[in-house]
Amino acid sequence: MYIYQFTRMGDLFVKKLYIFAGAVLFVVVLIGALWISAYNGLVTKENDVIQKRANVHATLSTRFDKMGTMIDAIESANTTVQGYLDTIMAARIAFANALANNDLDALDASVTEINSTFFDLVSYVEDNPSSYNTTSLYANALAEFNASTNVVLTAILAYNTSVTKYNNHIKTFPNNIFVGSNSLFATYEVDNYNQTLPSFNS
Amino acid sequence: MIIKRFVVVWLFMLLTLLIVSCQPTSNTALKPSKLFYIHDSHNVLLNATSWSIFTYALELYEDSNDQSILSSIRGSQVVVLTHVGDTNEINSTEIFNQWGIGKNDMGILIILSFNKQGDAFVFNHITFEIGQQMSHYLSAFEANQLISDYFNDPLIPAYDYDARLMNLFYAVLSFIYLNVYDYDAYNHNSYMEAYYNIQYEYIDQIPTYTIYDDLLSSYWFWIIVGFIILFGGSVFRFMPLLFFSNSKAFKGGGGKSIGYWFRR
Repeated sequence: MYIYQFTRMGDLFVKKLYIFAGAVLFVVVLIGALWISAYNGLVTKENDVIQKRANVHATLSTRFDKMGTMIDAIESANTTVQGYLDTIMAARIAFANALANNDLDALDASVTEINSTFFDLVSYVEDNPSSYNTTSLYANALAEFNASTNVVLTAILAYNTSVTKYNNHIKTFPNNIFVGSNSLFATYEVDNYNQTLPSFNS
Repeated sequence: MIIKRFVVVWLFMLLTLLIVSCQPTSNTALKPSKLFYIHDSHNVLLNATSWSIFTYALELYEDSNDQSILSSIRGSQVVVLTHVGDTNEINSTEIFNQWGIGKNDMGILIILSFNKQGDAFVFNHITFEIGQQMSHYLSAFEANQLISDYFNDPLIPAYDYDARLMNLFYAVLSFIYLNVYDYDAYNHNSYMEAYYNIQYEYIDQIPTYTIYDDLLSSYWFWIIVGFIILFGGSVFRFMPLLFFSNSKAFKGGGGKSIGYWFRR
């Protein structure tokens, strides 16, 4: 009788132990799956952001080459124009160096410098059309520059979308528990790209 | 029994229509037209212009798919779209990519924007977007020169947007035939003469999509038709609907643009 009761209590204990072990295993597997999902998502989205950023830099490089074409189309340069051109050339060298060294802060600074100076240059040329607005070459170069600017804009929008996905991934629950300590990416500002350039000779 | 089955079949069809009409659209961009190569929903262009664009754009697509051409540059498509209203309402790159203009990214999208003043359409500007692969052959620089030389051709009256468009359209085709596919010649002038001969002739309008086209292009429709036939419905009940869609579908080749466009 006693032996039977003892055996039965032992069975119950083992059964409870199994349930407990099963529950613990379930929690461990669940946490593991969430961690794996959060980490793999982080890696995938981070790589996507890096690739899109490289695309932005590549399109920026192309755009700066187009600037060179456009500058070449300016037939004569007075002191003001020459000042703009010198600033742009210096900033383009800084951009190339920053790109080679993967120095993102210097890269952004040079991009801002190039863009703002270039817009000053275009505005100056626009205000003095009789001196600079004489060749169809310039109008074509402007179209080329506008098209390459739109390519940059498209690349930036794609980059910003990827950054938003990445930031949302690491800041939303439960991913924030596992990968929330990673730093956020900053989106690009498009102020310098979505300005409409003047269209000459249309 | 027969009446009951008839009612069930038509109730299913009604349900199909409801589901199709309730499906969320994934974007707000325009749908391509039935003829794909010309989208002129406001009938801004003359019928002769629309039909000419369709005919020669289709011919280019077929010519450029010739087996003798390098497979990576086959399938050029040039699409013309007219838009009335604020240009900022439309995103040319989104349209380009959703329509998939050009196989192997060998596409070009030309958008003519107009404002409506009374009953008249006043030309606003032209947007020229070039597909990724096509941009290796035709740059924005060259495209702008084509616009200067052909769309703004001083020999064509400024008000004749149809002729100006056709002049540009044939110039773009000429550029593609000569510079991409290495044709020996392209007689732009003879094409323009042929166009002038029919410009004001009475020609039917280009066809547009009907509700039956939308219905028949929905996979939901075919799923439910399959179910109906499976449960004893007669296939002959759907025959009249099939007759409404008797035209060949013209589609994009899946081309992409990286946003290489300009406006003037």
